[in-house]
Amino acid sequence: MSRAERAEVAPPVTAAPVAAADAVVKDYRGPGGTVHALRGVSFAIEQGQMVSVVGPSGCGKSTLLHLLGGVDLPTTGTVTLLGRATQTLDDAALARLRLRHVGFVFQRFFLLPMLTAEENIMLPMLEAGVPGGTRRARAQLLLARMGLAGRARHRPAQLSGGEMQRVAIARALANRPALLLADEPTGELDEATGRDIFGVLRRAAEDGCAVVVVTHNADLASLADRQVRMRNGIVI
Amino acid sequence: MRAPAFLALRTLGRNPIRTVLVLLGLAVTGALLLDMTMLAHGLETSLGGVLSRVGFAVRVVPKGTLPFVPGAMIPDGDGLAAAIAAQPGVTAAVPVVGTNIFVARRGRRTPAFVFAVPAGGTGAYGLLEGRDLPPAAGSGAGGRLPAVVVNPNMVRLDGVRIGDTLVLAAGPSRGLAPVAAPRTFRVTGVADFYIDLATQRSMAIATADLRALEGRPSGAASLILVRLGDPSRAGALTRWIGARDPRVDALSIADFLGRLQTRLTYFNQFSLVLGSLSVAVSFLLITAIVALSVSERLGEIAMLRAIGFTRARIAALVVLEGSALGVASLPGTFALGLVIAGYLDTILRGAPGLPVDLHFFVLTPGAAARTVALVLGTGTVAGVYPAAVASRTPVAATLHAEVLS
Repeated sequence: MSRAERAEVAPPVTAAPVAAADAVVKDYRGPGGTVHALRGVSFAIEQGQMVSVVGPSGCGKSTLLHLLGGVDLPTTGTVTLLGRATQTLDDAALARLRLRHVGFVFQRFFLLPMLTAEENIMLPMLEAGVPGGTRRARAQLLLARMGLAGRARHRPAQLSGGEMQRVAIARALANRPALLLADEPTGELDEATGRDIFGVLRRAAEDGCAVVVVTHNADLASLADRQVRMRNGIVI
Repeated sequence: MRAPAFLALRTLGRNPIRTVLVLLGLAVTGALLLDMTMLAHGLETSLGGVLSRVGFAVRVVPKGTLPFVPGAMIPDGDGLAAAIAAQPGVTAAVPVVGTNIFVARRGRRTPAFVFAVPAGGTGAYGLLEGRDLPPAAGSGAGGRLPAVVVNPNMVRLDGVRIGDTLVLAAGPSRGLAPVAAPRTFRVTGVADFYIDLATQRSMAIATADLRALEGRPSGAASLILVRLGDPSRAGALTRWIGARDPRVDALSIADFLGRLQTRLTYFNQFSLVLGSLSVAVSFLLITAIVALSVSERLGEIAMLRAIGFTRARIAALVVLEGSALGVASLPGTFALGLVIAGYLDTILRGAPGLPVDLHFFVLTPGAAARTVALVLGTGTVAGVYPAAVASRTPVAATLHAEVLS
């Protein structure tokens, strides 16, 4: 990738840390009582870092990811995203923050089946008001970077699991986010494809993105700059 | 709004068979709605078109009646017509007597409707061929037979030709003792009487000749037709006429149609009930299909929220899906609606006693606009409930549930 192309997909330089959690508690109240998902977690990630979060099911990994991304709010404690406490922002402001500065990658891809790979990637840019020519050029660049240049016109049903996840990562990177959050991105992929996807995430971090990856896979987790281990809602 | 609009349109094509079935259903209900909006004012619009074509801006009738109600007469029609004709801006005031009469020809007596006008050239009917009644009153002067102008039905049904003679009588037979003797007339022309029934025999003769035939005193009229140089002055003239003679109603075309409309309220009620039902069915159909679609896509909606779509944008996306269904159903609505309207119009116009030029189902710009507005409005409103559900989707919980499922 050329220096110009790298600048096109890389996020702008951001003050550290990109995202942080300080003594965060998250409780869910339900008919069966209160579930304590996080019990005082502190965490921070800086630009260009890749952090993997590992731990058994139900230990609060995904909850931490959702709080860092601003799709949920802590019960107590503070989550800051690009220097702003998420609790102080209304829903629309949080949505705008996510649109401009956060990329999400999901275990189940969540590509829209009626759109092509290229259109799926352009969707966040369309919502952000990026001009059409820029949208298409950046989508093609991201597709090429994911090794999917020939798949632009393919719909998700015509792609393999690994290809779908790479399109999903390209979509997450479309608006050049400062923070990329991946929740079990290799959960539905085989070992080799999972390693390939980790490589793609690694490159995003090298381009300057702060990357948080939730995974069960210890081998893949070891590829990150730092590992955060969780159990019963706390970082150990 | 570009991303929601883009996604709403693409969502329609996501399940093509389901979308086509929904659009067919919406086309059926929309066609019923279109037909009802056409029916609601169809007769009024159709009659308005005929009246405008005739060209008289004001009609004066006996109070509380419509033209040619049997037995209803303006006692001094000739005098009132002369007074109206003297008003500024009035270019003609034609007293017309309309009554039933009998035509004796080739041993048969056939009922017919006769328009008696002071002279030819009044414009109360449109001459199609031949000559009109002579301009002077009393067309039988000079030993010639008095003139009669017949309608095309008499040509078609009875074989009457220009130059033929017709014997007209005020009563059906000698046994019913007409007041005056039958008289012989010569056919000079064929004319369009504008509001004829399908098999109605109509004719025009001079008023003096009708009075001679019936033995009536002169001066009474069934109707006075008034032509204005400036039709916008109709309101002022009708007020003047009403003040001068309280025994009459002076009606502009709008007044006339309004009075007719009060007698056609059952058409309005009928169309209102069926139109409302079609709107309700469309609403439920769109609400159901969009709500189903939303429930199937909660994970995707949560994803869209996660990547930065606000609640309002999600709501807009779902509302636009309802609107898009409404828009996409419009071609089918109009195609099916016009076919059904044509068929129903043919059936209804086949009923006896209806003028040939009147239609029950008339597509006007207003009817089309009302239908489009109702279909689009219904589609948009129908999307509101699913939009509320979609926009309130809890992002983190839904993403978590999707993984577990």
